[in-house]
Amino acid sequence: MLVKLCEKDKLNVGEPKAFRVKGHEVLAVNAGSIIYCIDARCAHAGAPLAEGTLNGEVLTCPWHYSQFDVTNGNVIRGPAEKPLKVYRVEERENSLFIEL
Amino acid sequence: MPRHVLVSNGRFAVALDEKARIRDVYFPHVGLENHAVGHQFRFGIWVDGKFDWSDGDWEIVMTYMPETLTTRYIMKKQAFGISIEVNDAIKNDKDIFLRKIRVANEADATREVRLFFTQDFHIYSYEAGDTAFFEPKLGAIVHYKGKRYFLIGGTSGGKGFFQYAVGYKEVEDKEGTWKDAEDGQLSNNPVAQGAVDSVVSFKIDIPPNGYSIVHYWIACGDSLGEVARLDSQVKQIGVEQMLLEVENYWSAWLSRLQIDLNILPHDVARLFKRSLLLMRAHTDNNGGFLASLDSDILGIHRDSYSYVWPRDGAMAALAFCSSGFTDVPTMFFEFCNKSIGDDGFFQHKYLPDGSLGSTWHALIDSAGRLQLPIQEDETASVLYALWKYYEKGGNLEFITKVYDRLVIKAADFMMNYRDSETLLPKPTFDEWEEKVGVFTSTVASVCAALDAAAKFAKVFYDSSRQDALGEASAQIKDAMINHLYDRKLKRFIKGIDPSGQKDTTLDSSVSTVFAYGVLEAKHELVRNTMDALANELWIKTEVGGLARYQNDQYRQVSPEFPGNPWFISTLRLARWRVAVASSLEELAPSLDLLKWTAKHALPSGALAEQLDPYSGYPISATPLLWSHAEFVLAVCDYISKYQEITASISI
Repeated sequence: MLVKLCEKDKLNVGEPKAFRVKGHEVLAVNAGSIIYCIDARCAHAGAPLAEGTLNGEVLTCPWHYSQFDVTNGNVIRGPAEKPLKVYRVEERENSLFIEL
Repeated sequence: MPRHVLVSNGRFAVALDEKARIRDVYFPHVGLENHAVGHQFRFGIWVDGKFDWSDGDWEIVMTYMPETLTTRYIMKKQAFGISIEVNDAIKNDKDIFLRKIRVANEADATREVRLFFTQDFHIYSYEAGDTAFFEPKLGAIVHYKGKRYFLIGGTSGGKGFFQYAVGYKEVEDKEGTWKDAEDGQLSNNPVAQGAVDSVVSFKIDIPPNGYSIVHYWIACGDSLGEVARLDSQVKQIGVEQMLLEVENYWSAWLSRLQIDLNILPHDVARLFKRSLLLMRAHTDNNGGFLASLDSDILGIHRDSYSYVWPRDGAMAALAFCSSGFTDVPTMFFEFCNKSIGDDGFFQHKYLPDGSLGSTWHALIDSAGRLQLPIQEDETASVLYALWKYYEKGGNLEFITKVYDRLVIKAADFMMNYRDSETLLPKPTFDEWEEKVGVFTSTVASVCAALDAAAKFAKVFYDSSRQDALGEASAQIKDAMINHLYDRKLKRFIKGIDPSGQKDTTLDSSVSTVFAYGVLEAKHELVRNTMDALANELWIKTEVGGLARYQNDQYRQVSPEFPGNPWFISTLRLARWRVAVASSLEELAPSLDLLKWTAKHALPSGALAEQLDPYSGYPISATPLLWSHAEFVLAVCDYISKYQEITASISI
């Protein structure tokens, strides 16, 4: 099911934003040319990743400093062990949709 | 010195200053029984034979982990070649202060580091009669007096304290046992009684460019058995796991927020969430909202802000309701229902256990005539907030429980405590607690409260009461316009003193005329008044912000300005600008004031009562509950208006 997340131009490069969509907490990350959508909560202890630090495509958790690759959700550095869920993103004109 | 961070679980609260020193320890109520009263619980570091306290030239920025009530601060001193990251929290369901210290060695060689923590309890707020001793079975230091016990425990690398000492302070020129730490060694003296303090140390060997962890905790209770039980739980579960539990608890608490903050700048959204958490940290589990837990203000008149002012509480309740949190206000209104007097009004302020707080309001005036030593708006604001709470959550079962006392008795008092000629409320103390008279802000609050009471009466089909209350509210509104709006000055005046003399001071408290919904924000009288406030009370320095009123001398920095900038006054201006906006362009000035607030918060997000007009440094109690409540209200108003405007654009 495709669900609209937001207007694309509301996402600034390097400033992840969290959204609540049908019970899911989704983080939209504008990494420059591509927008990625992943879980908004850290797989380790549930930290709000929108408060994390984005360096290129590497997102650092604001609580315990786990690092994730926003392109595929993989863990780069622990303590997190599980990857983040990645949502398929579709852009239609200026709108951003994700598949739930 | 302001308190930069505050951690709490609703029973046990600890506040720290900008140098990572614990300064206030409250238990068993948030705000009642301060067992530190501003005395310093120091943090010492010994590296390679050199010692320093954290109040030396360490770079420290006190903050929180996002969306939690767990602190995070990094301490650095270049000459020591180490950096220290600290997390402090209070277990949400146990009375334990938890501290994790991660010490990183920035050198290429293994180094021995010793950490020192001092405990300067003044149990029940005074030093006499305390005991501190080392408990060998627990490997802990215990401070106690009467029914209050504080156990200090810790571990690093599976070991307990390296050394410890207890001894005397504040007698015979003794500065305290903490001085013993400065040579890196402690005496292991196991007991002292009277005016006592204690020190514990941890020794860690840190590999090159590596790190080590130290855990420290303070358990409190009413017996040795109780604190020993808590100590055992910490040792069994571990500080790491407990900290994870606390982080998750507050994150889950905050995640109930149903407001979309994405339209806000990041710093404003972050401060909004921090404000909600800090407001909760000021909430005692008995329902009282404490005005501030910063005891630094004790330096003036030996009294503090650690009281429940019903008005400040009402503002916090309104802010929580606006954000969709109705559970915390329920606790507050229960507290109010128990505290309100049989005569239908609140006294000046209360302790968090519901007993009467100290007051400076006299029962007679300077001529010896009787006067009511209350601020009537404290009663009115609670009733007004109760209606907003009901509108938001529809908790009729709860309203039924409090209707007789909080609504009927309070409304009867306000309806009858009026001048028979003007129909205005009779004199009481003003919103700023300084003067007696009939004040615009009080009148507005009473008008709104009687209107709220009339609406409650309608809910309960109490028709005759509804009519009487509605009529009284309308009479007061008319009287307010007739007597308190000055046609020549083209604005509302501050009030009328008991002799009938008008006090024409330009005072930001009159913004309540619109804030309580008595007149529309766009009403000409309101617009004239708010324009005058914005023009005359704005502080014309780089700091900016709105003063409370002309010639405000409370903590005055310079007579050059009408007063110091206050967050409360500035944020009410923001709310008015939100309310009159009809387009996104018109909404922009209010956002500027929200950004201004975020800019002048401490790095932790704590908002002071007022600011130094030159430096922007916090003045008076910090953090202040009411400042945070006004910020939350302003942000909620802003979001609501933004959505209203953008929805109409879409259509």
